[in-house]
Amino acid sequence: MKSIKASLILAFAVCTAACSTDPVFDHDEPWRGPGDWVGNGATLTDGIFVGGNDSIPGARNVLPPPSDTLGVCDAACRQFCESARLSNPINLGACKHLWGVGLSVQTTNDAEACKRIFADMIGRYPNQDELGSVCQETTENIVYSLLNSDAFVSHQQRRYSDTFLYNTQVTSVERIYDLDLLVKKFHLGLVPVDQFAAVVASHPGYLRRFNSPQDIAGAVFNLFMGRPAFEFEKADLARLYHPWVAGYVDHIALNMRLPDSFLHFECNDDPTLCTSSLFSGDQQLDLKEDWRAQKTEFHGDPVLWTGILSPDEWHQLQLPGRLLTQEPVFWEAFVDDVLSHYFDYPLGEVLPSVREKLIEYLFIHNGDVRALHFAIATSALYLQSNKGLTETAHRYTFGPMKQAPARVWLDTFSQNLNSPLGGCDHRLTRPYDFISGGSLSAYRLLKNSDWPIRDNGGIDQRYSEIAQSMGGCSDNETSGSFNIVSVLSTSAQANLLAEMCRPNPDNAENLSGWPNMMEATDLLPSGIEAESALTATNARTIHQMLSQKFLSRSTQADELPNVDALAESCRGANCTAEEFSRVICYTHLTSAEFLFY
Amino acid sequence: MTRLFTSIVVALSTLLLLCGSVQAKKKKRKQKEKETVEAKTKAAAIPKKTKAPTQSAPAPTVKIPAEIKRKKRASKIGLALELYNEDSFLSATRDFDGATVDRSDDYEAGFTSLRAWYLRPLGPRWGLVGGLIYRGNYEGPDEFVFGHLLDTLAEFEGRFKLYKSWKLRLAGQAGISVLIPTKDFKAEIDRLNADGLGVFSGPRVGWFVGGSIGVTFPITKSLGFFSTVGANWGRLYLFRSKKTVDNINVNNNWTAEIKRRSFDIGVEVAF
Repeated sequence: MKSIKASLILAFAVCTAACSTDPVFDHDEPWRGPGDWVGNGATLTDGIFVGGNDSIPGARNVLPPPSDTLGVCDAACRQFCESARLSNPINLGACKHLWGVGLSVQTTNDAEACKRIFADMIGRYPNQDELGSVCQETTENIVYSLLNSDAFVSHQQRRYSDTFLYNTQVTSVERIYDLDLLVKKFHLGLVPVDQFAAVVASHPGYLRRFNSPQDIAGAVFNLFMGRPAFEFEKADLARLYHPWVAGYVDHIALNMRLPDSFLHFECNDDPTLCTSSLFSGDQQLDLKEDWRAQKTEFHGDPVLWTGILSPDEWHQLQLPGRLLTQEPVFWEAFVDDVLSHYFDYPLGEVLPSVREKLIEYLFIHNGDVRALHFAIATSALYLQSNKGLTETAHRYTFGPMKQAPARVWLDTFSQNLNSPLGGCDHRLTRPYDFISGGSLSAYRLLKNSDWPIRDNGGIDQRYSEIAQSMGGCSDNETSGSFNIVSVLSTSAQANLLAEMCRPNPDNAENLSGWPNMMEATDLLPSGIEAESALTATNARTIHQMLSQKFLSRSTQADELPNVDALAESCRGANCTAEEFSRVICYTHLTSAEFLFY
Repeated sequence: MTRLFTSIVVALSTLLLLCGSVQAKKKKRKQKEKETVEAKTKAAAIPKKTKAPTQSAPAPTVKIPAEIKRKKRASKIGLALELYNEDSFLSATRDFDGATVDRSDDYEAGFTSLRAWYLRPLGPRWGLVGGLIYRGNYEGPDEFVFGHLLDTLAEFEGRFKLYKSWKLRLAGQAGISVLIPTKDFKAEIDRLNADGLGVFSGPRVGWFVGGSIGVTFPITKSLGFFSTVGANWGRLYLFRSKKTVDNINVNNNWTAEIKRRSFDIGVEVAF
């Protein structure tokens, strides 16, 4: 009897061990794909770049060209530019159309420059502490400081999520994480520009969105060449995407059905189907079918899941991207894309010599994209003021002026609160899917993301809902984040800002969902009580503090009469210090200076 | 439901055919017995030369035929095909730090199962039944396969004369359900265990109570026909766990609330 019992227990134990499966999924490193295979060595450069501290020359003493022409740089102009000893590629490229032909730049003050660099490089304005520390450094050091920060990489990852349109309903979440990892490595200086493009051009995280080889070819061409492909270009490139098939993978650990890419092997019978001849001669994909190819419900012939490809197979598949990077247009389009992020106008098209110098600069720095960001952010053209009048209408003779994206001003505001507003995660565009599957792995992935989790375990979407109403935190169903000035968005923005600054004595939730966001202590300098009577000195102190908090600058001399007048009228109405501060809060947050930079 | 109805019609038709054939056989047998009796009577009427008894004959004893004995106190085993249908409800919630995933849903399960039983008579009318019902791969909402479901049941039954040899059978039942996880439910268990939740991967248990009403009648001396309709209610406990993994509190509660109707048709053998 004892032996039977022992046998039964043993059989049960063996069955329990043998019948259990262990799905391989690491919620800390959930990526799967070619992004994980590249950029695992040393950085491309040492992170030290030239051209960060050029001495800006004055304009050559000649008559500036009319606004509709670039002007001709004669021998004297060329000599002038050579003697200026410029090392920043943008300054170098612009000189013969700027200082050399008698034009000058609008110099900016440190606060304006620091605010712009912060917004463009890390996606928010500097806070009060940073105004007194980082922003007091030279421009070169400010840029280095941001370039080496996690915030810079995160901001670029967010920016590329709008380009690649991550959406977990369209693309596998593992592929999105992998592509995001690639973008991260790219901005850490681990992956050169051409390799980055080659991997992206054959990455399921981007390609799965498109249905046919022609669609894929058209999208990839447009992305990297900066223009739509002609039909013959699209048809030729599509041959290299012929094996790609859209399908689904059942992910056991996440308990989700993930859209993903597969490969078929029709080209084994007819290699011409996978041969391109337009770019660099005959180029053929050579993929071999083996036992890993399986029959599926979505394709007649056996297909191979791209989740189990070897590095060699990925290298084969990256052929279209490699071919595109051999075209000069690719490099021009890439530089133009980065330029447009900082300038918001096509500087590369306006001044092709700038683009040319930047491409050379990028090659010198082994394709390290950080060099490009450094050169742009330290250039004289970028660091111009956008205020005041210029002699001519040449766009490059005054600074860029951009509308602050929803997340820039939300994050700027949020950093001044004791309880930050939260955020959203560009990788998990449908966060509730990661709860509703009932999988702990999926929930852990969500918890590791940038989505704020409430005390009751749910997702706090107040931030994303506000951001989405103004173009941020896009779910990328059809398009990415956008900036818009409309009655609706302006009204939503004004309501939110009013709620942010308005007192809410009952501590009830506002329309935006947050109770009493701005406490009196957030709005008043230390030493001034909420209920204390407003004095002229207090009014100036309050204005100074709030200007630093929201506008990233001190009160300017020409503002003081207005501040005094407002304080005077407020005193007449028996204002307290807190009431005055809430008025200033609203005027600052609704000012053009806060909403544009 | 259509499948169930079709099955019932088929079963009843089979039953009628079976009854018809049994009645015809009985009639034939009776006719044969009658002819035998007549022949014996004729034979008895012819006088025989017999030897005079030398001793006085022993006192006559009354012997109860063995088959009558068997009819009164015989145990029975039976086998039936059960057609069943459920309007059940899966109460399934899982929460992570309070974020609840509710997969609760109504479902209709069922079709056929196989039932075997042993009847131990407690008197001329009453009996105690122990039995097993195998319901195959049991499915919940959205064709989610839980696994092999086996019901072990105990019944207290009474049989009352209805018409000629037909008897009315009334029974109350209670039982324990055992579910051996397969397919989807097994995958769910494996997934939870891979996540470190350490849920039990062995069979799940539940209970049910119910009753049935039906008829029986003998086909031969030891073989009987058996058919009942019944209903029962029960619970099947699938998950009931609380665990903290990586500072995430996970509560897992899945219970199937079963409401089942059944119709069965089968045979029982007395021994």
